Amino acid sequence: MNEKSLETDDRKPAGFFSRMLAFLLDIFLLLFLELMIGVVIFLVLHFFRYKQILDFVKSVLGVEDEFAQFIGLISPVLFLVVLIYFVFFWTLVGYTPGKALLGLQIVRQDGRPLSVGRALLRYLGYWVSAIPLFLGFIWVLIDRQHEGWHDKLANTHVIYILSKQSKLKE
Amino acid sequence: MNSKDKNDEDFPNSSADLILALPAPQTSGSASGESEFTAEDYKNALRLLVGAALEGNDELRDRIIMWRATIQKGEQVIDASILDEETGGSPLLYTILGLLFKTPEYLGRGTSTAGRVSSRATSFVSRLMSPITNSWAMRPARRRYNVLVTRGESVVSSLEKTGRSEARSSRALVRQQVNDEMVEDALVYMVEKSKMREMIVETSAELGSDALTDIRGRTASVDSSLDNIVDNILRRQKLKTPPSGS
Repeated sequence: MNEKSLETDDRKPAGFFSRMLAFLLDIFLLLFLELMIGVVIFLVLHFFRYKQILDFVKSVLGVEDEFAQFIGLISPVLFLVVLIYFVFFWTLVGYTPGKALLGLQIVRQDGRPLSVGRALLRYLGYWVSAIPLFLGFIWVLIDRQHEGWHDKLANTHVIYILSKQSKLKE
Repeated sequence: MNSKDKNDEDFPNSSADLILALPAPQTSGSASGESEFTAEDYKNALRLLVGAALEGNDELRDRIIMWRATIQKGEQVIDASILDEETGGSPLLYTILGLLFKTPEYLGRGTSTAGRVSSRATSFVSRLMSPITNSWAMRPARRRYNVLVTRGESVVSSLEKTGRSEARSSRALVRQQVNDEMVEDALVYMVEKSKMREMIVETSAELGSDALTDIRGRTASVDSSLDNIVDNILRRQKLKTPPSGS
């Protein structure tokens, strides 16, 4: 067991409200990021006269609205951005910026940090939790271990790391 | 000499220009290389002195007014009778002090009296001498006298005008000097004092950290409140010890 797992062994699982707030913060951050990326893509496409590309998208998607066409065009990129955002932060430090602000960390059941495969599985779990009217997320509130469906799927849990900080402060 | 040096030596001619310009040291002229104190330098130095005196006087007056107002708030009736510990020389001392305070009053009164008297005397003498001065024989002299009077009046008027303008520019010069120096000193202090910078950074970091810890604590307490509510709704027992992750 490495140092990190020793540090997090005795941590309490994070509750629903903290996790929801952290998730909302991440969504805001992602929205900003996606907007920036969208603008950059738009500028690049505009430079290369993207009308032809949009016509192609139109023929594939059957959408008339130009904005919708553009969104349809860049949605795979945005999906990738979101995926990379979560997987990158979860595997690198164990928390996204939103979770870091609220003092939360995602670890495996044995306290170890997440691998890339497990992080990808957890992200897939997000969709599983979201599809049945977000029941998988609400499950955090009901479950005694405060685990959502995505946690159960990836065998992870979210813990508070604020106790460590308060100890350090003392 | 390049154009920049030339510009440095181009002192402004009007007093208004001098508000924003202090003379650069002149290096040319003497064989020994020492800088000469030109008439313009003298004027600028004088402006600084006059400005400082005028500004200082105003500041002093303001402070005295404030000081007087403060004293008058808690003013008690001053007993001017002879005090027990007074010696034989005390009456003289108090007389001199009284004279010092009364002098401006006496001087003002005396000046106005002297002005009135001299004005009356002048009009009396001019009336008395008018047959002679207005005579045909005195006409060339009178014309010369009138020219002199006109010239004198214009000189006085010009001096007054210069004085007013110089006073204004001197005040502005001193204010600008003081402001510039103060701002510069403050900036230099802030930049040079690394402790100050460190203190600002540390304080900001601590404040941010405290706020974050507070937010985290609050959200954690909301979490436990929500847990309690859910436990009550589902009628299940509360967990006595937090579940371990491992």
